[in-house]
Amino acid sequence: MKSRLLKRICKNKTSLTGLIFVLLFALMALFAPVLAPVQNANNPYQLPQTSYQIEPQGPSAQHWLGTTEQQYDLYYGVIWGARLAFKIGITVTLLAFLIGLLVGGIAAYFGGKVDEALMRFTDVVFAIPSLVLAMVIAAMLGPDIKNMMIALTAVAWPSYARLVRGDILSVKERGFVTAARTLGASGSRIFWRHIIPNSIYPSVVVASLDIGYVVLTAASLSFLGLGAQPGTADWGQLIAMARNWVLGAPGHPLAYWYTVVVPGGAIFLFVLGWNLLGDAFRDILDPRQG
Amino acid sequence: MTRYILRRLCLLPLVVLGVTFLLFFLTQRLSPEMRASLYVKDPRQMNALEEVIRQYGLRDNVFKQYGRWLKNVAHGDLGYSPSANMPVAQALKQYLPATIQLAFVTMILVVFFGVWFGAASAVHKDKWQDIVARLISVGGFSLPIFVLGLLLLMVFYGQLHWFSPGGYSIQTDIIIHGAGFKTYTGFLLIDSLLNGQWRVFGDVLSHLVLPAMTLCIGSFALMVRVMRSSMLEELSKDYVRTARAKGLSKYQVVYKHAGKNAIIPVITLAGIQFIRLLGGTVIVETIFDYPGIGRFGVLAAQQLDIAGILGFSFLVAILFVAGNLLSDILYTAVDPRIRLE
Amino acid sequence: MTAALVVRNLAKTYVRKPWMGAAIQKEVLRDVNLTLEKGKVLGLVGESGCGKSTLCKVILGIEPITSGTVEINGKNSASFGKKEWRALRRELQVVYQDPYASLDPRFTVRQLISEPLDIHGLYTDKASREKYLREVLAAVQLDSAYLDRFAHEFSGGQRQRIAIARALVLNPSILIADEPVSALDVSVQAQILNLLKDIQHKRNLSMLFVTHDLAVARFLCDDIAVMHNGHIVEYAPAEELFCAPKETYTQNLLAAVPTVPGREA
Repeated sequence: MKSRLLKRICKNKTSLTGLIFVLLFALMALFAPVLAPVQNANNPYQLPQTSYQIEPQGPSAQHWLGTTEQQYDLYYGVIWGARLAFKIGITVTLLAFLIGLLVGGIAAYFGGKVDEALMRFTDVVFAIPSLVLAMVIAAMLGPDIKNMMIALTAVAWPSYARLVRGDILSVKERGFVTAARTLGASGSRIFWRHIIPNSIYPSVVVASLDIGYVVLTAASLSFLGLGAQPGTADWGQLIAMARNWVLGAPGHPLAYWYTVVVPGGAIFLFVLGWNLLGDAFRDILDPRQG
Repeated sequence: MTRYILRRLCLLPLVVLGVTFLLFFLTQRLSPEMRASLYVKDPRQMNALEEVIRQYGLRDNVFKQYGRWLKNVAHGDLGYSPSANMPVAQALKQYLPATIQLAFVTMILVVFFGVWFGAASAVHKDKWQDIVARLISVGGFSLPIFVLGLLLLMVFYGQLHWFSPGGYSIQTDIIIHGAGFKTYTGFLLIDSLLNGQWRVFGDVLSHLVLPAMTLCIGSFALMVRVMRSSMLEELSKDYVRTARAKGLSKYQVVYKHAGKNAIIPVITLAGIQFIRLLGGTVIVETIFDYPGIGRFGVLAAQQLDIAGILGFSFLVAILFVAGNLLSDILYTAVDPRIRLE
Repeated sequence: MTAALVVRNLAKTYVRKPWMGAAIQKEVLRDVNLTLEKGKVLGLVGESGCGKSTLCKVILGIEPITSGTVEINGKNSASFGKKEWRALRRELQVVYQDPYASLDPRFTVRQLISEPLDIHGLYTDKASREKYLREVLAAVQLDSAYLDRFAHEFSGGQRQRIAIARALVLNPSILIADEPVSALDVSVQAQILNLLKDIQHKRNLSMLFVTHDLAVARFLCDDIAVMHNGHIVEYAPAEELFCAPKETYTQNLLAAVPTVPGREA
């Protein structure tokens, strides 16, 4: 079944493009220490800085993609930014999914008042745009990467809780669950052996495809100064530093284009890859297509 | 149906209370001294922090403090915002119309271009028009608005000098704060017309162009997609083939018959997206230094202006929940197949 | 000799309590009386929505009884606790209508028909388990090579054989067949019916056979109960009911059955 899925992805040109983008970024993240040797052993995500001169410098032999404000190397930022993006995306999605699984599972398993209370709590989190809520939480906790991940997890888990709960409830209604009851299976056996395996896999796929969206939101927070701090190899942070240079130099309005285009391009391609892959998966998972 | 709406209406205040309490609870992570310092306007008072803490009961338990905040809110007092340098209630009242104005102009762009591109994409399926529209649609989903915003600033402000950031120019500022200018609605686009100030109207509109173009990208991509699939579905229906067989021209069939039916889901979607834009305004208003509530919220968050953050979240939660409820109702009204339970 | 299954004055009412306002009651079964003798086949015939499936659920203990009693092998099911119900599952098994829904898609055939044995702790030894599984598969005329394939790889008829194997694996004395062929192609219906008849005969099963198809009921059943709107309208030995139906509802049902020349007599 898994190979069939892979075959279908490879057959479709757009989804194949998405898969290739995601894989390229994964390789970039994996081999970051080879592609851009670590300069500061204590914190590899710290951007190397050749001088304290403020004005960005264009691409050169020394800095392949140029430098941004205060001579932070953009090449290093893109490479290690990919690693940080995966780190943030995977950690947040995984944590949020586990919390969602637990809460959604409890709500669906117990039903009644427990279900009602938990679902009303998710309503509360849904009552405000996730970026706004994440922004407020990140601000309260103090701006750094760890707190940003906490804020992102806090706003992401309720949607998984709802997803898992809905899936469990619909699986609960299916014939084989009743069949298991008439065989004499206990409640917990039915839950763990029949309901969970049948409801969890679609949710896992949906959740993993959200990595692109999580990274986008993380970049937005960093851009607003509520995530990664200046000097971190974080795409959103690099774009925030470019803000001061969008108007260019006198007579050369586009002089510092690379400060926006390099990190912006990285995040665009990253999110694009996940979105293309996501579309393909959604088409494949769509039950109407059999 | 009525019962569902009533139930949602009853839940609305509960949800808003829940959100504000949650955030209020979070503010307790900050030390009382830190929270007290927000009340101090004169640096010389900084050594009297303990007195401020006692005066405002900042060491009381969180429920008591929250109750006090709610009581003040009921009296219309949301506290003082140091980041905006004015009372929170006044700041929200001043900034909200600008944000609504922005969302409205954005929605017009989204619907106009979304329908146009989506319909063209469906009618010329698999031709170059379709490919271009689909590429824009996929790209629009993936291009972060802060990247697009900076690129647009670079080109249209830095290079071409067509538009500039901010809410309006200095000349406009002088006029609208002058004695002759009367405020009717708070919406500058409307007030300028009521005052007969065409210059102000044009100036405000031109400042809306870049933020609206940036903000529309995500919704636009969605709109193209929905319009395209909706139009394709209409075009495949029997009545379209019948109309063509009857001898009506392709143009007549597409735009008079299919287009009319295909546009229904698009209008509904527009209603829903209008409220979703709230999240995006936070970034767009920051990039373009546009004086709306999004920028107010970001500044408050960056400067840990608690009263500002709470007031901002309070307003956003009300708008968001009410807006979602409205769009749900709109959705069922348009599509009878959907039943709310 | 006690009957396998006795249903007395059974009623079932669903109550739905809306968020506000009065509770809504819906009577699904009323005053149902049935007796299934040991080793016999009792047909329960009625249109869809008449309450047949609800009756099965009530007998199986999946839905609670509103009033009346169900006696299984002479014991009142209302007195059963969890433990008794569990023990009863080895006596009372069921084959459901839709073999696409009733088999967990993530299980192999081996897992599917082993599950009842795992639950009840039977044939725990590997070799005897394997031998027994092959026997059961042979009883439903399935090749034992299928053991490690997934249910979704099979056709509807084969799936229903798997479902029957799963019901038989506990060696029950009573089998409830809830419309076992109505989801299948007409071409395989006869095979499954023959299989059920054969198994019933060989194992001397008591069977409650639920169907909406009178012709099918006639082929298989000793007695037939006709159900309409949650109530038994006519209850008689099969031949009697077919030759001389008393109730107009039954007459109408019979009139709606197309007569097939080969099936006469």
